[in-house]
Parts: sequence; C-alpha cells; structure tokens
Amino acid sequence: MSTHASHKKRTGLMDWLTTVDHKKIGILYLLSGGFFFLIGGLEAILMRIQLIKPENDFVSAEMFNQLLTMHGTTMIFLAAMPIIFAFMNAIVPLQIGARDVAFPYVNAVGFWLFFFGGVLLNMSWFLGGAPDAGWTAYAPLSTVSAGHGVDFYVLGLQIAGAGTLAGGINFLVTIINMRAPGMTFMRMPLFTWASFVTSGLILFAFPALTVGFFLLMFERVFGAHFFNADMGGNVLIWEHIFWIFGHPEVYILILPAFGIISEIVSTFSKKRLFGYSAMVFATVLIGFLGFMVWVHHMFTVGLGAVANSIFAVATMAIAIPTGVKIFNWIFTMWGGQIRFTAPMLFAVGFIPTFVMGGVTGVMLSVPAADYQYHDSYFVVAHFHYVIVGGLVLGLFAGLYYWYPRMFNRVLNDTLGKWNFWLFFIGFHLTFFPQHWLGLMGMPRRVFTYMSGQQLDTSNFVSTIGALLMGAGTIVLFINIIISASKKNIASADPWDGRTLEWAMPVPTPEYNFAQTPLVRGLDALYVEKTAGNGKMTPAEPVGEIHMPNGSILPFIMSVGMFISGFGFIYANWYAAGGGLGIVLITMFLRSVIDDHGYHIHKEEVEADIKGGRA
Amino acid sequence: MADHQQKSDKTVHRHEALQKKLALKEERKHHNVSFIMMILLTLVAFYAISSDKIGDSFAVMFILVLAVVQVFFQLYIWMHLSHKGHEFPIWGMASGILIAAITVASLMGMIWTS
Ligand code: HEM
Ligand SMILES: [Cu+2]
Repeated sequence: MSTHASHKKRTGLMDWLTTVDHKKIGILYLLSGGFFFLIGGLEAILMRIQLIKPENDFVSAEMFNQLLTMHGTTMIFLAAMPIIFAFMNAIVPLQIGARDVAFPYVNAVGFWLFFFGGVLLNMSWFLGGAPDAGWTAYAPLSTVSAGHGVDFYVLGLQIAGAGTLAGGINFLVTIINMRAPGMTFMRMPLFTWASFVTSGLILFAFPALTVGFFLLMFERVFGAHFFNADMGGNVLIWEHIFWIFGHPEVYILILPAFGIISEIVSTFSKKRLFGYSAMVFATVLIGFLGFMVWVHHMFTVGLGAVANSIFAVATMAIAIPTGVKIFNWIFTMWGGQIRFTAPMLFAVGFIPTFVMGGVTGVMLSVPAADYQYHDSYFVVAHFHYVIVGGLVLGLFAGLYYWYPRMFNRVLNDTLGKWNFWLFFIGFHLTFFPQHWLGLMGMPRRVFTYMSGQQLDTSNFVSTIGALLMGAGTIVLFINIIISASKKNIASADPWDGRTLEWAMPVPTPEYNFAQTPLVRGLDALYVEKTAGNGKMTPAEPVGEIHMPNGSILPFIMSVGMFISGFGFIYANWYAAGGGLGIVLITMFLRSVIDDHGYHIHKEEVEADIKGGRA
Repeated sequence: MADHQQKSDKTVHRHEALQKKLALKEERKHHNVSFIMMILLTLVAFYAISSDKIGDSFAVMFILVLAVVQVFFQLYIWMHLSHKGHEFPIWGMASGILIAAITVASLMGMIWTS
C-alpha cells in the first residue's frame, strides 16, 4: 500500500505522547489515575490524622476544607473515573473482538483533556490555595469563596469533564459498531455491558455538569448572578444541576465495578454467570432509574412532602435490580469450583461490603429519617461503603485480574492477599465506626470536635483503619515493583478465562486479533474450550490490517485547553484566547491533513502467527 | 451455459440499477416537498408572532408545535432516520429526550411553582 510509507514508528516518550492505541491509552489512564489516587489518599490520611483526637491542630480549619474538597474531587473525577476508563480501554475492545475503539484519535483527545484538567486542578495547591467549597461546590459557598481555588475547580473539572464525555461517546460507538461477527448484544461479557450503560450515563449526565460549570464560571469570572438570590438568582438551581449529574455519576462509577465482579466471580467459580439476562436487564434498569432520584440528596432543602416522597420511592426502587445482582453473584458461586486467588478474594469481599452500603442507602432514602442522617458522618459512612467497599474493591479486583493482559506480568498472589486483608480490615475499621459517629450527631466536613462527646474512640479507630488501608495500598505498589523487576512473562490465559480478552498471546499484538474471531456463544473463549479446539475460529482469512497513525495533536490541543483554563482563572484574556487559538489550530490541522493510517502487510501478520506472536 | 448465466446476471444488475434510480427520485421528491414545507412553516411561525390577530399565548403554543414538526422533518427527511440501521440513534435520542423532559418538568415543578 502506498500509505504504508507514511508510517513513522515512534519510540520512547514520543510514542506515549502520540499513541492512539487503546491498550497504551488504557495504561496511561491507569498510571495517571493511580497517581491521583495516591494524592487523594494522602489528603485523606492527613484529614484522618487531624481527626485522630479532639481539638487537634495538625492542620488548620482552612487547610482542612481544602483537603476535604480536593480529596472528594480528586477521588471521583481524577482517580475513579480514569481507572474505570483504563479498564474500559484495555479490555472492552478485546472482549468484543475489535482491533481498536471506533475513534482512536478521539480516545487520545479524551485522555489528554482529562490529564491536563487534573493537573490544572492540582496546580491550585501551589498557587494560593486549593478549592474549599466541598466536591459538591454548593452555591453560595462556592460563589463567594475567596481566592482562585474554586476557579481552579471549575476550569480544571470542565476540561477533564470534556475528556470524559469524549471517552463515553467513543465507547458507545465502539460497542454498537465494532463487535466481531457473532458477538450479539446478548453474548457480550458483563463488563462490556456495564461499560456500555456507563457510557450512556456519561453521555446524558455530564452535559448537565458542563452547563452547571459554565454557570458557575460565569458567576465567578464574569459576575453573572444565576445563583445569587439578592439579584433574582436561585441557589437551589446549582444543587439541582449538580445532583442531576451527581447521582447518575455514582452509578457511572459502580456499574463498571459490577461488571468486573461479574467476570471474576464467573471465571473463578468455573461457571457461566447465573442469570445472565437478568444481570443485563438489571444493569440497564439501574442506569435508567439513576436519573430519577437526584432529589434524595436534597430531602432537607424543603422541596415539600410530595417531591420528597416521589423521589424516595424512586430511590428505594433501585435497590431491587441491585439486589438481583447480589443474588446472581451468590448463585454463580453456588456449587462452583471456587479458586480463592487475589482477584476472587477482592470480589468476594466486595459483595457483603457493598450490600452494607446499599442498606444504609435505603435507610437514607426515607426522607423523614434522612432529616436525622443528612450531613452527618452517617452519610460519609454510606458513600464510602459503596464507593470504597464497592468501586475501589472492584478496581483492585480488576487490576489483579487483568494485570497479566495489560502488563504481561502476573502480580504475586500472596502479596495480593496481604493487600486484600490489610485494605479490607482497614476499610471496615475506618468506616464502620463512622455510622455511629453520624448517629451520635457528628456533622460531616468539620475539622475538629470537642472531647467529652463520646466521639473520641470511634474517631481514633477510624484513623487507625485509614492507616491500615494506606498500608494495603503500599503492599500493592511493592507487588507492582516486584513484578516489574522480574523478567518472566505471564502466560496468555493465566486464569483459565472465558472471554475473548484471553484469546491472544501476550504481549497483545498491536492489532489485537490477527484474524477477527467468530463468536459462537456467551463466554466465547470457553465455548471453544469445551468444544475441544481451545482457540477461536477465525471469521476472516489472514490479510492486510489497517491501523491508525499516532498523532501529537491531541496532546497539543489539551495543552491549549490548559493554557486557556489558566487564562480564565486569572482573567487574562490573552492567555484564554491564545489557548483556545491553539485548540482551534489543532482542530484545523486535524481537519485538513489527510491521514489514512497505514497497513500491516499480510506477510508480517503471517510471520507473527508463525512465531506465536499473534 | 456460462454465457446464459452472465446474461441473466446482467439483467439483474440492470434491474437493481433501475430500482436504485427510482428510490433516488422518490427521495429527491421528499427532499423538495419537505424543503418547501419547512420554509412555509417558518413563514407561518413568523406570521403568527407578528400578526395582532392571534393571541400571544396561543401563538407561543402554536409555534412550539410547528417547531416539533420541523424537528421531525429534519430528523426523518434530511437525516434519514427512517432508513435501516438507525435503530440506535432513535433509541438514544428517545431516551435522551425522555430523561431531559422528566428533568425539566420536575425542575420547573420544584423551583418555580411552590
Ligand atoms: C441502593 C442504592 C443506594 C441508595 C438507596 C442510596 C441513597 C443515598 C441517599 C438517600 C443519599 C443522601 C444522603 C444525605 O445526603 O442525606 C446518598 C448519598 C450518597 N451516595 Fe448513595 N445510595 C445508593 C447507592 C450508592 C452508590 C452505588 C454510590 C456510589 C458508588 C453512592 C454514592 C453516594 C454518595 C457519594 C453520596 C453522598 C454525596 C454527598 O453528599 O457528598 N450511593 N445515597
Ligand atoms: Cu444519589
């Protein structure tokens, strides 16, 4: 092919800056999400040290407000979301038998926007103070907050959010259009299903946040009065907009974890998932109901009995499809040949922990009772049970499970178990006492408390638990370093997998599948294993493979956004306009430069197959 | 024998081409009709607002209805939603519209009525 000549092979740093390969973008997401996870964790530990004893003065009240805001914001937007995108990138195209996502270039744009948005937000630490209005940035607290902290919040998250939206759309299109022959919707692995529904939620929920951020930005930067009651605005509008986004967001977070747990429970029980179609239906239903419940975060603002009741019933309804999932996991394990490897341990730990978070959720969904719980540590306990006990355990499970596919190494199982037990025990020590703290009246988001209110012991235990969770995370990093220092490559299918991501050798060839596989049932690889051939039947002859070229433009475009973000924060219109100018120029270049990608020749593919590399 | 087959292949091809041509013609007709209709509807909307004979509140409702009709023209005639393979966009738009409608309606109810 003539286009082949135009292909430059890049190496080293330049390769990572220009890559459009979903596998590499997945690793980039994982590394940067992991980095922000460490920062968010550090902020949490600092807060817990401050709260270890009454009237402590380890950090100041102002510092505490910044820590709590940045902890929540970082963990949700810069750690959890990107790590979810890491697994979606690394695994979904493989699971559906595709060679890449539908829009590899947009995928890179999405990553770099997230990355620079996150960096912008964290620059606030060094430039006069971080945002301090809570991750929810309620007006008027956020509109009157002094300094530039909240401006960093608005602009940083706006840029990162644009990247997330791009990623969500990309995965919707990928899953709809790029499935291999025979991969019908009802044969898709549950992680792919969860990614699909999560992407749909992103598509519908993030625009609300984008609009909200624009309103807040106009209020802070240009002096508008959307949320200023003195000027005819309404503070409640921010709250509504935030939670119209915010509740779907919590399901954006948890659904992929549900997907990961489904894969792992089925693989390590050596059984197909119990009630597959019920699982799919429950996932879709949870996604749909997730949009009808946002007012449960606002029961106490005085919307009236009717509004509160409607949203209470809708909220309780979500417990039903969630319960269906719990039972299906248990029935999947029932009578299975269970192997308690590290990923399975995390998955099994996930189930009861998440149930506890769900139960407190249903308690909170009763408006009359919520008047008691609201804004207390009880809510803090609830959402950490679902987010840490749910999502984070799910992400750890996924990391141990897919690590061999992503990094060609297996993590040490014994260290993995240490990681699990330290983290799991630490987690319950940290958050279980917070239920009591809340019921005894300790409000959330306070930087200290008085002694003699019987809050001392529980707070002390909670801090010790947090340190144990930190220790568990350190074990994970030791494990990663050890595995990286060893030379032995993982086997292609270390867990006796059931789905397509285990159907190619390690390292995964850059084109994933030398020949697009023919899918003949649910758990496509397992179908072939039981049929006796042990590997996928190809759906096409060996041929040329078309690949997209890498590009530095997504990186430059995101730098442009970063500069313009700074411009808006400091009301420097040259920087704001200049940054947007860079964005426009990169868009223009992308539109006028014809780039048809390149082809991998049939002979190369054949050589790869012969050499066991594909 | 082979010759014969080739001949019948040719007629099949000619047939298909003819059908394609007819379909194209039909589509062009739709385009023309909808183009004229959309201009007319726009004129009617302008007239409804500028004329004194039509009450304000009725005029607002009226042009909203016209707007919905225009959206359907746009989606079905110009963006070919009726063609095969558009099930997903339709599902996506329908669920998006549903969620947006519920959201806007409940927001209006909660913020501006009490
Ligand atoms: C059965 C399922 C669930 C129910 C019934 C439920 C219910 C609730 C209710 C009523 C509140 C508001 C409490 C208050 O502020 O007074 C709440 C807060 C929260 N929930 Fe849930 N929840 C459920 C699942 C989840 C899941 C799966 C997640 C995340 C993965 C989650 C994350 C949160 C967060 C982050 C907050 C607090 C937000 C804040 O004020 O900062 N919840 N939940
Ligand atoms: Cu919620």
